Amino acid sequence: MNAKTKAFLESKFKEYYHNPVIGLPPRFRKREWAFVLFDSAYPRLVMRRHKAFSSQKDLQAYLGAVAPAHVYYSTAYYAYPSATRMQDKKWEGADIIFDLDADKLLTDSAPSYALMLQAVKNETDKLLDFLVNDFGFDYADFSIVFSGGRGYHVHLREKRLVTLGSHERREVVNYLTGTGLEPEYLLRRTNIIPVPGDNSCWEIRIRTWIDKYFKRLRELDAEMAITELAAVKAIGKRRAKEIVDVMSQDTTIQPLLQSRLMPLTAWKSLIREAISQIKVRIDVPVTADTKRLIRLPTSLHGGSGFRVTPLTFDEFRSFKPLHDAVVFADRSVSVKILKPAIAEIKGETIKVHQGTTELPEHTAVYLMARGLAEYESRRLKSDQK
Amino acid sequence: MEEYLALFPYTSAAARYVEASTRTFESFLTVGEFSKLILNRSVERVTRAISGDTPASLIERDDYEVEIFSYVMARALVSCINETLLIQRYANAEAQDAFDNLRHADEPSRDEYIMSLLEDFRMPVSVENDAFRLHFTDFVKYTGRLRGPQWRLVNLLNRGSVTLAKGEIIQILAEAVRLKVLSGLPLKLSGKMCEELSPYTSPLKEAFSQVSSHLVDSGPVVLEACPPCIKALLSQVKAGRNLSHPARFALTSFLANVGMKADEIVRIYETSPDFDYDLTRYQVEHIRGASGKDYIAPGCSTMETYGNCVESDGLCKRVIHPLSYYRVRNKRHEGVQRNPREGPV
Repeated sequence: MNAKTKAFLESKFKEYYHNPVIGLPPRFRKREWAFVLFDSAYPRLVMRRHKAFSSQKDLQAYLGAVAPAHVYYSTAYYAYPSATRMQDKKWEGADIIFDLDADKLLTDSAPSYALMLQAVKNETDKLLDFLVNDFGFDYADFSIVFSGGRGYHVHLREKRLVTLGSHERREVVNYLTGTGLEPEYLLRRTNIIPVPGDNSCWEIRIRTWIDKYFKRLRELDAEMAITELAAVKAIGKRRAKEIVDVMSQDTTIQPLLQSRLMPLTAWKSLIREAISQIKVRIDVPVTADTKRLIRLPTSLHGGSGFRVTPLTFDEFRSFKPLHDAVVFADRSVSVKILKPAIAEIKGETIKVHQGTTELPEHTAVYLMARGLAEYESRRLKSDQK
Repeated sequence: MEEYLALFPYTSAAARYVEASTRTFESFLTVGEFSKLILNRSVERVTRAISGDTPASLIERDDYEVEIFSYVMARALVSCINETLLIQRYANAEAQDAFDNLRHADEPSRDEYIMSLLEDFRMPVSVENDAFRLHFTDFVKYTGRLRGPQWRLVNLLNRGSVTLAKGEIIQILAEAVRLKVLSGLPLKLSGKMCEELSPYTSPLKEAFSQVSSHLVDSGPVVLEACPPCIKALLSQVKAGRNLSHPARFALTSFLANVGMKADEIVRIYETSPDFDYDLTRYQVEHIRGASGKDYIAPGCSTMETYGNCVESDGLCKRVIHPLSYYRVRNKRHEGVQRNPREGPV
């Protein structure tokens, strides 16, 4: 990234931070703040840490003057947030954060940015369902944030949660990721598979998954159902046929349970499959950490130029990141493309190739921030529009 | 009420009793029948923590105050001795007593004690047919050291709470007691105070150093005594695979903790494809405490969270820390049986 590009990005960020749009987290005076600036080292991340602000005005003045590329605050609250040694800060508690990131989600070759964000959004939806249904939180208890990059953050600040240590937070993580769920134990505890009564939410989820699994098989034609079942561990072709026969007698799995046709190994393998589909793929260390730095909602993400967007649950439902998190204008900017790329911003898919080209400002900022383009100049003609 | 305070002298209710009393800390150091009783009992409390024996003495009605004040004095004794391991053992011993007291109480008193303790520790519950519903945040606070699937949130959570049987609630209360006793220890006491207590602390210190000398790892590292998780990491390294950061930390700190020298540890990593001598040396030295702080290897639950707990065996189920596993196995090698619950926490 050359100096001209940095200066341009910085000036755009300054414009954004000039207007008072910044939302602050609760207890912001007790938090440590950290910034990455558009300095000579950038895009290498040099973190300026251990800052503290005593008023919203001070923070806003700082942001307006410096226009950082990245703005973070500590999830922890400290008695002395600006102390430079961690042990001197005196930890008093911390928000609990769930980080859903495309990197943790997709193992196959990367699809488009838009599809990737959609996948992370679906995963976030799964998380929210766990938090409400299993943990008993209310939709009003958490704030959902589009990170401006490759995913979503969910912040929880419920009173009983904030004093939990790292170890206790890991139990929450293990719950969400299904770590420690043993099919053997589940089967032993509840005789074949969970039955209604005194069940954990995981047991109910697994039971529901299994019901759906057989419902889907019932809807297939017999031949296909047999093929699919025969692929499950410890079920041969003949056994599969018997199971399909019994299964089709009823709309529940009760006859199947009574018949004991399914070998234990097959149940275990189905339960394992259920767990891997139900579990939430969160970034584990983030949630377990009691002293994490997290991106400030309402700030700008220096790696994309998108707004780190706080969302209510309703807003989240209809949120379109590549539309709603875009803050820059449509007017034209001239850039030099370094690498061929595709940008899908505000419903428009733009393919760019090496060389100089004209782009809407938001797309130009995005490509520059990603290191895929350098700044050339602003087109005066389109400016007057 | 006094009986409750005597049985559970670390409760806030007992603290209020002590505060309201006219007896002072200093008065126990003066000669007198009552202070002698207090001091003897407090020494007994600490002795029991050192030896691990169960207490023989049953409380007499007249002894309620002795119980309450000897707890206060025992805290002073362990604070003056100021050994982390002793403080932990002391808290364990008080927790064990709490557990036994609850188990051995008659049904009506037990129920009363349980409800009082839950209230004292601010753990709201709803009870129905001897099933206790507890908020998950309270549950995870007190079950970190308990092993077995019946203590994992993943097997229990339902709409923000977990349902527990009375016996399980008693185990949770014992853990709450342990943490309550630990909190605030060591007390910041004046040198003069500790000096005056030295006739009592000196023999205790002596007894403790005899016991604890067995706990220090010495001698060559016995790889066969390593738990399955560590063995798995070792064989991955040997097979030339790169370890994730948490895995590398776990392996290095474990080996350092059981007494392997930095050079030997570095040599283990030589087969890694991303081996960098200086970097590895630096990391190993750093974990080994060159920066002035010794890192303790991660416990079983951390290993589990990061997917590094593999092929756990029977002994794994009884320990909460890979180092405890090693110590038990290692002692077995030497033909000495030891309590598997011991180990860093």
